Amino acid sequence: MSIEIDARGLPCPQPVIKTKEGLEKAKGKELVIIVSTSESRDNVLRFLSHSGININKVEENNGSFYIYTEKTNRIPINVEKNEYICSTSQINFGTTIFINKDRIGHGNDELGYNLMKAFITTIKDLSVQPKTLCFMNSGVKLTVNGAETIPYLKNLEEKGIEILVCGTCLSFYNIKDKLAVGKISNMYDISETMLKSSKVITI
Amino acid sequence: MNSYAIITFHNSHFALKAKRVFDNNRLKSETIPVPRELSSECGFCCKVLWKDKDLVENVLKKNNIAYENIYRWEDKAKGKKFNFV
Repeated sequence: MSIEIDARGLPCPQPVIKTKEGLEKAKGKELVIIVSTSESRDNVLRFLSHSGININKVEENNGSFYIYTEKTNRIPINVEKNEYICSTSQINFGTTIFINKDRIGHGNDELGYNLMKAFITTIKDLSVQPKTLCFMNSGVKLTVNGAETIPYLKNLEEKGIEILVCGTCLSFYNIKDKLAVGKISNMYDISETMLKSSKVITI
Repeated sequence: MNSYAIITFHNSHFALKAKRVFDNNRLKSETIPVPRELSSECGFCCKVLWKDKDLVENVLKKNNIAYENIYRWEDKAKGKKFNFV
């Protein structure tokens, strides 16, 4: 009896995290971990070795790597991210801009609103472009019909910049049906986007 | 091709005030950051339709809003071009 962990296609360090979860459930069983890159294989092997778990064999079959462990009851070590080399191809190299209110800064609201509008207007003219814009809390008000920012955001979306809008926030402000640009999104997508980005700028 | 008037002010208070006054007068306008071609300092300016320029100037005068300059901005297929009036 063995536990199979299929971590093929998962971005680094997910295969290591899945392995850790598998070990926690192993309770005396063997583990078979399947990964799709040699880098993930090495990371998983390194993690198993650090956790003191012996490997029975490693096989390569049809581009997948199968790692067979001994029967184990061991409690795995914690996954220290910097120990596992994640290739840059698994990181979304872009910049995410997190807009969590409908104005910039504190102080005068009219000034703050105009600064936000100016910020969004300016993005399109810059030589560097963000990869994603995430809108949360009152920031979602910038993405609905009637907002002066709509034409600029639409323009950015046409240029391929992803616009994620928090669905919970749209519902909260009762403006979900007015969404005019971007994609309704959730905390999973938004937090994952932020974690995958090489840089997150909070406005 | 669209023609706009870019109105610059000595101070962003005036720019925001001008925007309020334009709104009250139902004049189509936008506050935008002062284009790099005009100034490197942070500031807002107002962008209005060129055809409304005289109307806008009257409204500004009537409301005692001093402005610095008015530039003509023409949206062209390739980028933007600023022309002094």
